[in-house]
Parts: sequence; C-alpha cells; structure tokens
Amino acid sequence: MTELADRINVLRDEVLDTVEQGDRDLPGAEVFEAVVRQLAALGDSSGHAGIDLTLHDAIARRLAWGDTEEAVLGDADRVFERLVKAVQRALRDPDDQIAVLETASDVLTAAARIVALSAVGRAGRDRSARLREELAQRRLREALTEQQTTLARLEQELKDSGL
Amino acid sequence: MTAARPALRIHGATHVGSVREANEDAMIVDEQVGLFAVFDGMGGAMAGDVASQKARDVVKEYVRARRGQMDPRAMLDAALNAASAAVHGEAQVRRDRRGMGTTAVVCLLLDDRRALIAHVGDSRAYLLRGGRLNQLTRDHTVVAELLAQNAITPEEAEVHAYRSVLSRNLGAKPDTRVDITEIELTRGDRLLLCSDGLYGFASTEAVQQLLGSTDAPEQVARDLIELALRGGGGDNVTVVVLEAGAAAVPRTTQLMRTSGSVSWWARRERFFEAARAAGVAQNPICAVLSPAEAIEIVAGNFVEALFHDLEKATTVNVWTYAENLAHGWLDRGGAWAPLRLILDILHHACGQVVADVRRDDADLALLIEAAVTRELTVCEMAVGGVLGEQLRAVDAALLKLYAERQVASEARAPGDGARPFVEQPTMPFLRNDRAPEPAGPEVRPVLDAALRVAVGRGGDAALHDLLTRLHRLAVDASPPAAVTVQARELFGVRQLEERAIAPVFDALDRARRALVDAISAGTAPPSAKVAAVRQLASASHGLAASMAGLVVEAAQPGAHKLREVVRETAALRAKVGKTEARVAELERRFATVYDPLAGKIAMDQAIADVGPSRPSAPGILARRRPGRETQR
Amino acid sequence: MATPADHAAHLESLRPAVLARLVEIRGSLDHALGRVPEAEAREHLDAVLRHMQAYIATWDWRLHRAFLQSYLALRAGDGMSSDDVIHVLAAVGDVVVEAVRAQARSSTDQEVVVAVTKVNAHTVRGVIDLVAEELERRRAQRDQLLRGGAP
Repeated sequence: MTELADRINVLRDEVLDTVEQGDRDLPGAEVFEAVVRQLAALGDSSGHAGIDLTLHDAIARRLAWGDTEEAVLGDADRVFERLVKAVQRALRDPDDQIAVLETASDVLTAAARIVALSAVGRAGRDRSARLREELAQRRLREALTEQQTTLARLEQELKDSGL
Repeated sequence: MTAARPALRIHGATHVGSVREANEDAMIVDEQVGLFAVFDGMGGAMAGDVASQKARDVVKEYVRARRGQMDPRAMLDAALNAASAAVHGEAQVRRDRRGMGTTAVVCLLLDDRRALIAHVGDSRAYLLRGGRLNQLTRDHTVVAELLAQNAITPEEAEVHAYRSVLSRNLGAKPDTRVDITEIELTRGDRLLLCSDGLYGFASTEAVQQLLGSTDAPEQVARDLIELALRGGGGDNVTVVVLEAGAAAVPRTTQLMRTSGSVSWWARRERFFEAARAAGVAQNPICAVLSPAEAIEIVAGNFVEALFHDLEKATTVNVWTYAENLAHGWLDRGGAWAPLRLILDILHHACGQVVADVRRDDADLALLIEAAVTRELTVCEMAVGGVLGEQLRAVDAALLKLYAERQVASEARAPGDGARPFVEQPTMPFLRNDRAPEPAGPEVRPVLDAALRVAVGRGGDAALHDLLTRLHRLAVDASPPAAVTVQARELFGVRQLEERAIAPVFDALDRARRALVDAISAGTAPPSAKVAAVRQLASASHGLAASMAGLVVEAAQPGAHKLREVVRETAALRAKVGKTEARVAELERRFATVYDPLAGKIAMDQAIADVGPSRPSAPGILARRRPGRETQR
Repeated sequence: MATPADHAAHLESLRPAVLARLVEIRGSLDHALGRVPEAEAREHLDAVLRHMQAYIATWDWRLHRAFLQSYLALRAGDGMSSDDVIHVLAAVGDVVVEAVRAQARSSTDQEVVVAVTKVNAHTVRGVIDLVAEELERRRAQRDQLLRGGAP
C-alpha cells in the first residue's frame, strides 16, 4: 500500500463517521474502501486499477439485500463530502490533494455508473418478468376455460347417473 | 483417489475442466479418519487454488489432531472456522491474494451408519437413497438466502444478476457461520460431495441416474466428471462418491436383471415386427432412411438401450437414446407430431412384447410391464427435457424481441409526464437544500484555461459537450437542481439500455480527466489548482449521481407496471386454484360411479391403435374419451 | 383380476403413509414446496394423490389432461419450469410406486404396481404434450413478433 493510501486510510473513522454510525456495515464504506484501494494501486507499478470488481460486488450486494439505489448514492455523496473536507485539512501537498480528489471522482463516477446500470438491468428483468407474467396469465386463462368445460361435463355426468 | 472401509466404498476425482487453465478445487479423501471434503477456491490470479488448498490442509490437520477429543459437531465447526481464519490471514499478507476464499462441503463419518455434513458456500452434498436424489445442503448464495426468506421469487432468482454471488465463504472473514447436519446412512445409500463444476454443467436427473447405477463408486466418479465435461466443462469439477455398502437388491429387481432382460432380448424380433407394422419407417423422422435402416436405428437402438437398462437396473441408456432422438429431430426444427408418434410406436411395440411374454409367464409379464413402462416414462422425461430447453430458447428470443419493443416505446426524456422531476426530486442526493460551496475568485481563470486546452486537444462532440457542461457547473458551483437540469439535457431521449447509458458515464470520466490533466499541466498556483480540481470533482460527482438518479427514475414505471401485472396473475391463480378444488370434489364423486373396464382404458387403447394411418397431430389422444355407454 | 376400483381402494389404504413420506421429502421433490408450511405442502400433495387415485379408478384421460393443464399453469405461476413440473409429478408417482411395491405380496399387488406405473407414464406423456403445444404457440408468437406484429 502506498503512503498516500495509508494516510487516507487513517481518515476512515472521520470520513465514515464511525462515532455516529458504529463500526459495522458503515454506510458508504464500499466507496471509501474503493478510494483507498485505487490509491494503493496507483503506487503499484506491477498492477493497474482497471475495473474495481470489489466495488461492483459491494454495491451489487447492497442492492441485492434490498438497499435502494437512492440509499447507495446518498451514502456515496456523504462520504464524498466528508472526504473532501478531511483531505483539505489533512493533506498539505497540493499534488496529493489532487490525486485523492481525482481518485475519489473516479470512484464516485464508477459507483454512479454501477447504480445506473443496475437500474438498467433491473428494468430489463422487469420487462422479462412482465412478459413471463403475461404468458403465465394466458396459460391460466386456458386452464380456467378447460376447467369450466370439465365442471360442466362432470355435473352433467353425475346428474345423468342420478347422483 | 480410492479408499475402502469394511462397509464403505469411496472414490474422489477432480478435473480442471475444458475452459479453465488451473484447478482451483481441492478435496480430502481420508478413509482412516473418515473425513471427506470438496473445496472450490475463488479469487482469480492463482489465488483460488491457494485458498482451497490452504483450507483443505487446515481442515485435515485440525480433524486429525482432535478426532475423538472433541464433540464432532463442534470440531467440524471449529475446523472450518480455523480454515477461514487461515485463508483470511493469508489474503491480508499478500495484496495479490486479497479477496480470495473457498467453499467447503465436508462429510465426517461418525460410524458406519451416521455422518455429519458441514458446508459453507455453494459446493453441495447429495444423498441418493432408494433411487431418489436428495440435496442435503442449501447453497450459501445471496439469491438462495433471499429465496429462503421469500424476499424474491424462484423466477426472479433464475435471472437474478447476482445469482452466483456467495453470501458465505471461507476466507472473506476470519470467522464464518457453518451449517452442519447429521444424517443416517443405510445400506445402499450413496453420498455425493461436489463442486459447482458438476451441477452447473450436468442435469440433476443425469447425476441421479449415474449415481444410481450399479457401477462401483470409482466408475461413477469418472462418469460424473465425464458428464460435466460433456455439458461444457466450464469450471473445475470435483466429486467424492461414498457408498454405504451395496444395497440389498429386491428379488423382483434380481428377476428383471436376469430372466426379464433375457426375455426382452429374446423377443426383439417381435418388437421390430410391431414397430414395422405400426409404420415406423413411414414416419417423417425416418424420411432419409430405408425401411431396414429405420428399424435398425430407431427400433434396434431402443431395444438395445432398454435391454442394457434392464440388465443393470438403471434407466440411463433409454434416457440417452430418447434425448438424442429428440435433439436430432427438434433441433432441426422438426414438428412435434412425428416425434410423438415415434414414442407411441415404441410404447405400442413394448406392449406387444409384454403381451407375448404374458402368454408364457403372466407373473414375469407383470414385472416386465412395470419395468418397461418406467423406462418409457423416462423416455418421455428425456424428451420433456429437450422440449424444456427449446421452450427456454424460444422464450429467450421472445423476451429479446419483446424487450426491444418495450425499450423503443419507453424511450423518452425524463421528466416527461405528469410529475416534473426537477421540481420534485425524490432522491436524497438531489435535494435542493444543500448549498454549494462557492469557489474563490482565483479558480475561474484556472478552469477557463483548462477548458480551452482540453477543447483544443480535439475529441468528439459528446466530449466537448461534457467539457462545457462540467466547466459551467464547476465555475458556477451550481445547486443540485441546476445539476439535474444539465443531467436531464444530457440524458435526452435515451433508451434504458446499457449501450445507451454507459457511454455517457465514459464521456463524463474522459471529460473530467481531460480538464484535470489540463489543470495539472497549467501554471496556476498550487492552491488554485487544488481548488479548481475540487470544484470539478464536485461538479462531476453531481452530474454522475444525477444521471444515475434519472436512470433509476426512468426505470420505475416499468416496475410499477410489473407489480400490477403480478397482482393480476395472483388473482387469476387464486381463481384457477378455487375452480380446481371444485373439479377435484366432483371428480371424486365421479370416480365412484364410473367403470373404465366396461369400455377400454382410453390411453392404452389409443396406444394399441397406433399405426401409420394415425393422423400426425399432437393431442390426438386428448380427443379420445370413453363414451357414455361405458358407464354403469 | 382386480378392477380399477380395487386398485384405487388399495391406493387409498396407502395414502396416509405415502403422504407422510412425500411431506417428509418435499424439499428435494420441489423447492417451492420445501419453503411453504407443512400443512400447505400436505394439502397440495394430498390433492395430487387424490387426483391420481381418481384417475386410476376412471382412466378418464380428458379429466387427467385437464388436471395436468391446471397444474402446469399454476406451477408456471410459481416460477417452475416445465421440466421441473415433469420431475415433481414423476417423483410423486415414483414414491407411490415404491410404497405399493414395498407392500406387494401377490400378483394382484403387482397389478397395482403396473397401474401406478402407467399413471406416471400417462402423466409425463400428458405434461410433455402440453409443453409441446405451448412450444408451438410460443414459436408462432415469436414469428409474429419477428414479422413486426403485436406480441
């Protein structure tokens, strides 16, 4: 991990407001951690940042467990605001400040993109689900028609047999 | 890897698969300790195999060291937690191994009749008893857990974007929750531990049939691996097969495997004769074959498959035969009616053979009739599987076409319609009450210069548009409502599809980076550069979040409509359910006054009547019904 | 030779034991049934068993087909694929066959085994005919969409 990533990691409690929020399942932690990861990768000559699958998975998981897109973006927004303030206070070197702000912007756009594409994916699934429902309805209507015929026949047969 | 106990036969096998380069699965087959396990590592970049091997070693050592000294259930729980801690620890030490983990499914034999099954993740344990395959473990995936909580429907689960995301594994955290169950083993039971490389690429019924064959575990394990590879082998595959002693074979089964199969084989000419008379060679499926070839290929192969099945007390050969027949015909776009007719001809010819046997030995005929009818059911099931695949393929095409239509009709500018979006933003990140932080006077010239440089470097119209918008938002320190207006203009009339949405985010990233590069390369004082980048970051973030918000908003009408349709379906289902109850009630009364023997059993008669003159239309049997004269 | 009514009566005597077994293994028969309360699953499975019994007494194919059509439509609404429905019904039938076979002592009992095996064959056959018909309809719908018509 680079020194800059370390120095930002130190700001974790301040940025994620652990005093207020506790230490587990912190809102927006996925965004902060992505910023730290990306900063660490910046200084790693063997690797490159690329697509952050961990951020993708973390947001995907939140959405899968029922958090709304609004909550995810709202948390990201709060983390961004607090990070900008913390960086302004904690980092003296302008280049460091620019590096962190740029990294945070990257991560925030990535988060917004993940949320948007997840909504697009959900819209696609909703469309599919709607067609499936409509197909299911057609089968149910056919079954209902067949049931009515069967009922009429059984009633007639039973009447004829004297029961 | 094979091991033996007096009452147990065990074999484990693993294969890298046809697609992966490395095998990230690991297993334990330790007959001495009675410990068997499968691990499926994950984490990419060679970390998956590290995770699974580490977990394997820890579990093995832990159980070896403590067996007999601890309560077995507590010991397994602790062993898997120790493995999780070890994998997690390893992941912390090396950056390239961060995020690695592994699944685990472990069987610990308590004695020859009891075992504990522990698992974390989506590797599975199955128990085959009496020919029936039971899944003993429930996958620890996000989707499976949501399903268990009834938070989503099985249909949603099938298409859920995160259906493969594990909710638990060894290594994600130092400790993990382990599910442990105790099972009783009875003679003839077969236990299967496997990674998702098996069940992800092989159907449950094929696994059931192979596991249920009379072959030794070693052969079964080999066949299971082969099955997964034939299914595509898209992942590493590992299986451990345990057999709790050979099952006592019922007398009737023994009789079928000997006299029954011999009797069947001896009458194969009778079968061919019946199939020929029923017009197998005239069936469109056999159009390119000579009559002799039609008999040889369609009837001959069936007779042989059924003979082998009777001999081995399995159904796998007939299953494969029917599946190949159905694929061969339906994949070419063949119609259903000729295939139905072929199946009925096979059924009819079987009936003739049974009738022949009955003349010599009525009791054996009953046994053969039950076994052959079962095989014919399997035939139909195999064809049903192929039809199911075709239905899914047609559904997928239908969904795609339908979605394209919907997307086209949904495309609109956000904010159109009854509710003005900007005036009533519903998302917290778009709230209007957050005052933007004004930029100092030194920032404007820095941003202006950066815009000039960035625009001067070229790029497409979309990039220039974004450069201008970002610049304006950064300079004005615009309030959220103004950002939303910009986002809305940017969104325009856009389809709710990835290919329409993703490029806007890409362009936003490119524009921001171009401006930041220009600022960094400029000659402004460092404090002004930092302030300008801060303004830009804030503007970029606002725009990105607003864009995402608009996409979310645009997706909402579809969700509302879906809820409406789901409600309609539920009402319809309730009605069908209620009517079915009424039908069932009348049917029971009807059953007491109706004697089918007075006439002919409809389906049997239809099959007996099968022949070349039968019109090739599906559902022909549906039109047959006993007449009123058959009633008492 | 026993009559269909005798076969149905024999099945009726086994119904409680068969039902108990089906309820016990319902999770592996059918994931949807594994998640509902036991009483609900029992009611569902009992309805299937009772219908099988009625079919074995009447061999009235039209009634059986109508039942299968409703069953398929209802289970499709549960999100079950047609293959799953085939397997559930075949598995229920297999449990009944096993129960009857376990009790089989005479050739009359063996007749019941054959009768129940036939019910399974007819059931699976009926379901796949319905699936094939549905496939034809959906193909037509797809072709219509491809031609630009209304879905």
